Amino acid sequence: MTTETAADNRLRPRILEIEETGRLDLSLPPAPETSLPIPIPRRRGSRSSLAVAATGIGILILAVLGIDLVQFIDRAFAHGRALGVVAIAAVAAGCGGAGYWLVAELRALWRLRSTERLRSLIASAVSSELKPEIDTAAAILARDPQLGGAVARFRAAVEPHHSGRDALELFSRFVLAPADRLAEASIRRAAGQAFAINAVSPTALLDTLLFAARAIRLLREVAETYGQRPGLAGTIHLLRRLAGGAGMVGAVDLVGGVLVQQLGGAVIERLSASAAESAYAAQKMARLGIIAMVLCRPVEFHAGEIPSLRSLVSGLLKTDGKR
Amino acid sequence: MPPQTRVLDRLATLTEWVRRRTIRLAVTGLSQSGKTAFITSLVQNLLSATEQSARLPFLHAAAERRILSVRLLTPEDVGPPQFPLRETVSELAADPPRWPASTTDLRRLLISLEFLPTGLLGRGHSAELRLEILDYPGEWLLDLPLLRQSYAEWSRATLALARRGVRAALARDWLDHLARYPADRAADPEAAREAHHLYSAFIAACRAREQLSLLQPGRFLNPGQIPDRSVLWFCPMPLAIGAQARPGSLAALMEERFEAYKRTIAEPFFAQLARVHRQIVLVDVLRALNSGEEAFADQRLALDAILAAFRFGRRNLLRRLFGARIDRVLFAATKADHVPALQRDHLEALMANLVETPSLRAKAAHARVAATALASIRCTEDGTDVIDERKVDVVIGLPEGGQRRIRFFPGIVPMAPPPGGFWGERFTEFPVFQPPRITSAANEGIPHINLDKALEFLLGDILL
Repeated sequence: MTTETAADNRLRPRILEIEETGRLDLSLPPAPETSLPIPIPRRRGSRSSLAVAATGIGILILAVLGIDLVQFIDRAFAHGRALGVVAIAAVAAGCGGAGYWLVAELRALWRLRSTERLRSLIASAVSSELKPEIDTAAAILARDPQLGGAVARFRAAVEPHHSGRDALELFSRFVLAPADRLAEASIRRAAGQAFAINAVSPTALLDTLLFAARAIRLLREVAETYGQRPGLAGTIHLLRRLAGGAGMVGAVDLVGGVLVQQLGGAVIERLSASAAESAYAAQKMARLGIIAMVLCRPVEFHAGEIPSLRSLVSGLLKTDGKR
Repeated sequence: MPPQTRVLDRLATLTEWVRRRTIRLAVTGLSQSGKTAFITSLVQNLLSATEQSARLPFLHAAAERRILSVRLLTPEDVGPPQFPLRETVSELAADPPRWPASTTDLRRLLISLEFLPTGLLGRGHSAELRLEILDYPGEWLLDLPLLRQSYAEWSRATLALARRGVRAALARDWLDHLARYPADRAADPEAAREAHHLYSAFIAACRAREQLSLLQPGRFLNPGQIPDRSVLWFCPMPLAIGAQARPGSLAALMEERFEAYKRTIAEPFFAQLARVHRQIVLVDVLRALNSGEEAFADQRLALDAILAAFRFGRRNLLRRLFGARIDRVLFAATKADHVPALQRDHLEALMANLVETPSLRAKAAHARVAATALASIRCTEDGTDVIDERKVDVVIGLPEGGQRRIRFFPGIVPMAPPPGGFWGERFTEFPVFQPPRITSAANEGIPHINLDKALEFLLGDILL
């Protein structure tokens, strides 16, 4: 493995002695106890950043609407010191809420960019670039209590000698596979609710509005499962990408069409017209959910990995007690 | 018997077949390719899989914690002696550690894996995989091509090789002897014996000095347990194409012994490898690459010769002789811990390239084939260094017999067999690293590189 030219001589094998002594210790850190498939605990109730922001801004708007803001504090003090303090507090709450919202939006956007950067890197990255990005993505997902155990197991399995591609495969298997299952559970829930909304909605307009609201919530849930926790700006960004995935919608429609054809004769004919509409609404919601998964997953699905409508619909019909 | 009962019986048999399977894994490789280390690490890591699943993250059954227990079994039937696992692990765990000595005879090891299957038939109950692993001296493998060669064919090929390149100088004494004792001379057992000794010394020198691989017959270098050594006293003799050895001549005596060697030694050995289901072929590509163009070409030649005998479709030699059918073959470049992470991909690509032809043959016979780079026992960690103002990736480890660690830059590993201009003077200081700290406890496992990927390829479908 040597060469004869002077320039290439630099690439000849060589041995350099160093000061360190003793055998290498390559023992593994203790592995966490959690195992795959991880149990899905109940999602911890958390305060939505949007809700906090809306509350703060709402207070401000109410204050502006209720009292002329320019004279609000002056007038309040004119009427008494206590009222003046309340007025100041109200304005402070408004500003605080707006600030909180801004920070949350920025953090959400940073997370979104982190996962999107990993996706864009994968195609051309070398090991040295991939590993830090995967580490960042794992750190983001580790904050989710439902994925913390999976991330810990992933970190225990990845060793320094693993290449970036190895780390990526382990990340997909140890962390993203459980995240996929959580996202699928969200899609099933949303599809079930879309069915119910369609069934009970008195008007088409209300039906459409409720469907849209539920779809946006599903998009946010799926994004959150993959560690993105999108704020308003993040949601708009995701919706824009969702709209950009029209080609994918077509592909999923095709799959859906096949499914409907398969099921059509046996099942759908026996459903009433409204029930069929409801089933179609559920299917549409499931399709949206799958596209959201494809868009939000930090690592793209391999061929054949994308969950099928059939598996989601069969899961929907199952009573697994998790919904 | 009512038809329903017969169907139920067959279903029970099928379920039992799914739940208890025996797989015979042949660990194949030329001498010094790391077969003993591979088997030791494989078994030790499987034994630790229930407690240290992080050692085998790419073996899905281990990562998913579906392996319930792993036990060493004592074979009930009479067969080759047991692989000395405990002794080998003790040597590796000693301070200072010792690499296990080369294998001198056929040995086997039987382990039982109880696991939770995910397949339709086995789901809900545990299943058992019995894995039988065979270890044997790598030199013996080169006897496999002899089984389909006549004495004249083998003689012509060996003599042609001996007169070329670095072999020529080493073969001088033996070739001089052949010139003094021509093939048609009257049979003389003493002359035959001397010719055998000179030939044996020649191939031993080829291995020790030039790192050559295509050295036959294998028992000349590593005889093993042979009751009557006189069966070995032969060597190639010059025979013209189409010519037959004259009865009563020295060549006829040699031919008779050659055929006896095949019949009484080579064939019974390969019969022991019967009914192999999976095969891993270990190749020390790096050592050959560092030993120069001729050693590298010779290793390739040896691999081609061996793998030509392992045809995987109908009418293959092994199957005809022993009924074997190999449905998965993994070609592994060993000692991947001697190159830093980025170059392991190159090593893997080079391995795939070297075995392209046998891979195509195996694929054509619907066998699954893959190539990888692995280190059964990882002795180094990755690092960087600056050489001539260039930052380069190196590996760091403690050399055998040394006190201070070294940084080893292995050069650039080509992704394909290198062209003529690539080769320069040989790099003879290829380091042998000490194993890392390991314990002889069965639940600790042994550090490795890509052993789990190899296991997933070889056994993953059975453990589903």
